[in-house]
Amino acid sequence: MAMTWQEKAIERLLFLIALSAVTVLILITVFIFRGGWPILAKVGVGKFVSGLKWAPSRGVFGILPMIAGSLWVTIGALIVGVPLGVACAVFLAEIAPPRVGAFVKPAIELLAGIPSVVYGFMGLVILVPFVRTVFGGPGFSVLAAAIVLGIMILPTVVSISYDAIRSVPRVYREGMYSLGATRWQTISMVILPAARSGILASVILGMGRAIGETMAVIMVAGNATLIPRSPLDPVRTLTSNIALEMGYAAGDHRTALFATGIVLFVIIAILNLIARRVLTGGVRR
Amino acid sequence: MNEGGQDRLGFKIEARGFNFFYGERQALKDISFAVPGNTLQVIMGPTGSGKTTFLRALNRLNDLVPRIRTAGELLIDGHNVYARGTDVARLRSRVGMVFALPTPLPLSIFDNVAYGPRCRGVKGSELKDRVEHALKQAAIWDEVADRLNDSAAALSGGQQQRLALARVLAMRPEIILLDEPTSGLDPLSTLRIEEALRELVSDYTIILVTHNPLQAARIGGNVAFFYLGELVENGPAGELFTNPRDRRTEDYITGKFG
Amino acid sequence: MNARAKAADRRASALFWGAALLVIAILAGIILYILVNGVPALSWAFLTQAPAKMGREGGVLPMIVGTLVLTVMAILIATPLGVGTAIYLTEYTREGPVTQIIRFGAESLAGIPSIIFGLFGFIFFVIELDLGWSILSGALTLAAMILPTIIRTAEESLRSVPVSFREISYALGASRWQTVTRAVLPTAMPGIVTGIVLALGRSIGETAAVIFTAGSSLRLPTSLFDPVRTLPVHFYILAREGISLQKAYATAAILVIAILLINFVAYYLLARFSARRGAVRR
Repeated sequence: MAMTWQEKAIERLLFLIALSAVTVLILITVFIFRGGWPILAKVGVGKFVSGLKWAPSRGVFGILPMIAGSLWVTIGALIVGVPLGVACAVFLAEIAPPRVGAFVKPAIELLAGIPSVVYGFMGLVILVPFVRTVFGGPGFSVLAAAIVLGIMILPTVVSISYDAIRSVPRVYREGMYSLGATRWQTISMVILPAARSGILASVILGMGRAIGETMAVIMVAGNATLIPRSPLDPVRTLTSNIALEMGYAAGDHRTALFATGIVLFVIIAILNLIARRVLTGGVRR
Repeated sequence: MNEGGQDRLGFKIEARGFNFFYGERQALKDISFAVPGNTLQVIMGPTGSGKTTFLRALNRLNDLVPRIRTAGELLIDGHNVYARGTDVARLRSRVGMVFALPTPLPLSIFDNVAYGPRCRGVKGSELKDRVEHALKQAAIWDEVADRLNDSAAALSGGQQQRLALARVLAMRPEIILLDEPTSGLDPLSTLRIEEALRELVSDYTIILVTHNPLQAARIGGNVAFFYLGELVENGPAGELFTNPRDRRTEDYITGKFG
Repeated sequence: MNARAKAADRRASALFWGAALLVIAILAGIILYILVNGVPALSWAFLTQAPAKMGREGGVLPMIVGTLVLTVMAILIATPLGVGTAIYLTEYTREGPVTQIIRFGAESLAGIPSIIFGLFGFIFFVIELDLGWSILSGALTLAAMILPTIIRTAEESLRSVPVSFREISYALGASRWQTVTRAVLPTAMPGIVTGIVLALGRSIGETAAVIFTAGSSLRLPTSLFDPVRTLPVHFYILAREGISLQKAYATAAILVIAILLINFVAYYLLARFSARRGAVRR
């Protein structure tokens, strides 16, 4: 279409604006890597990632305990959040009467709006004492963090699983019901399998959310820099590591925290790529 | 408004070996015919015959679709519509289009009709006059004069379509294209629009697309029969319906397919 | 066999209902717990006074001001960028390598955790651009965080505008920008505004990205270059340092009430938006 110069200028301006997200992404990548690379070069990526000791005051930078901490806490969050989340998604998509669904769906979305510090606080005043009295140990534990994070990833798991379940074609359901199947049979034998790639994607994205969570975890996980040996042990995650010490870190210490950020960034990038593959791969199939 | 620029044979619109492609698919094959100014030209044919494609080529609305290709010429007042450097916005202000679905913009009745002129910078009392005149020409002024600020969505289907006509007329075009304008309307609204068109033809060149041969016969003027992207034949309505030259035309108007 | 299947179906149903009820109970529990403990500690004085003794006494006025200014600024920065991106994606290009890159950027940004934004904001805005710990640094960082949300909701709203509106506008001779501003945007506005409101809700509760960029000063800010402490940061510090449980609850109550209000407004807008769409024929 022939355009006046004003129209062309507007199009160019909008194009530049549209690049803002990519620009920010590039800036973040560049500056995070710039901020942390010196330590990785000095200590070596392998030693950094597999080092068992984190003692910044002595110049010892090993983040394996934090990686283990993030891993344990995330797996725990998935154990708590995925079954509950998928069950809610099934409930919303297949079982809830319309009025109930219209109330429950926004409610779950409201869960996503609660600040992480509030979640952490609730974990602090309710869960931690509970774990301590019922299970023993300091209370600040993998278990407490897993429960809090499990609840926090519910909205993510529910909404993506819900979309996946809803997009299962109607004919699948109609076919089953016309054969006299019960609702549960239809759900378990046809719908869930058909939605599995979407549900898997929701799990992976929930994982990403759990790994990236900071404030809530700090308040309930205990923050000991040791590899946890049981769910009742206190633990520090990659994110907590950064947030706890960033306030006063300097020099190599600060660089090491940025390096922790690099590791976190890479892990999340990989998770997001996997999630995207799973989501689009499922659609193509 | 209709005197300037007609070519040596006096045709307002002329297609010369015009071909149109959507990617690999050819939608129009070698269309050649001419429409004199101030006449009413009907294009009829079954779905998929290229009627809408032809119409949308005239105001280059097809540009919104990716990967289109043309060959041959499509002339308005002797100028090729697809020539490089054509001012498409200006073309569209001279060639108005009424669509099949009477969609009002989510604005008031007045703002709907004023939309086009406002885009051209018309305002104030000139704007009001244009809107009123257009609504009168579309034979709907009496029904809306006292509620111009009401939402256009409150009108009935037939009224909305006449509003769409007014919207186009407010631009003071030279050519009016109508793409199956009455296909979703009740018989009374259909007749009112057909009546309005008959009155308008003295000031405008009108092309109306329809898939209903009865409507084509009723409206009169020249009728072109499109089938599978080809122009099968074109002639005055009276002749075409009593004495079709092509077998396919005869089959179509007798209802053997469509 | 039929009876067994029916029994299994009933058990499964009970489980699903139970899951939903559990989640609702958790939500209600959190909200009620905070409100029950926090609202009694709220008072006009609390809302309008400055804190004293590191927050053990006094109020949270600077935090309220700080939170408001920070989030409003973030919205003001992110909205033109986000809506502009959405407009470009829907109205000015077709799907292709360019749009894929832009989308990849937006989606990736959405997946980055807030602590990374905090790190980035610190090293880029606070240090590199030498803005220091300030409202400006915090707002820019927050804007980057909410940008993908605004892009996504704006794009959805723009795409839900019927194609016929655009066709009608173009057929009347309008230019592309005229079509966008006169036909498409006004129709998409309710959805876009809902997206902005939701982004607002996200920014209000944000802590990790803010604490490393806007600082944690207790003083009332007087310029955009002043550091500021927001409500969630204040809440976090009160709770973790054990300064005052009562004030912590009160601060959390303000946060929760604000978020409830924002979400209700967003729902009201969303309901109006869907109703309006239903009224217009496509």
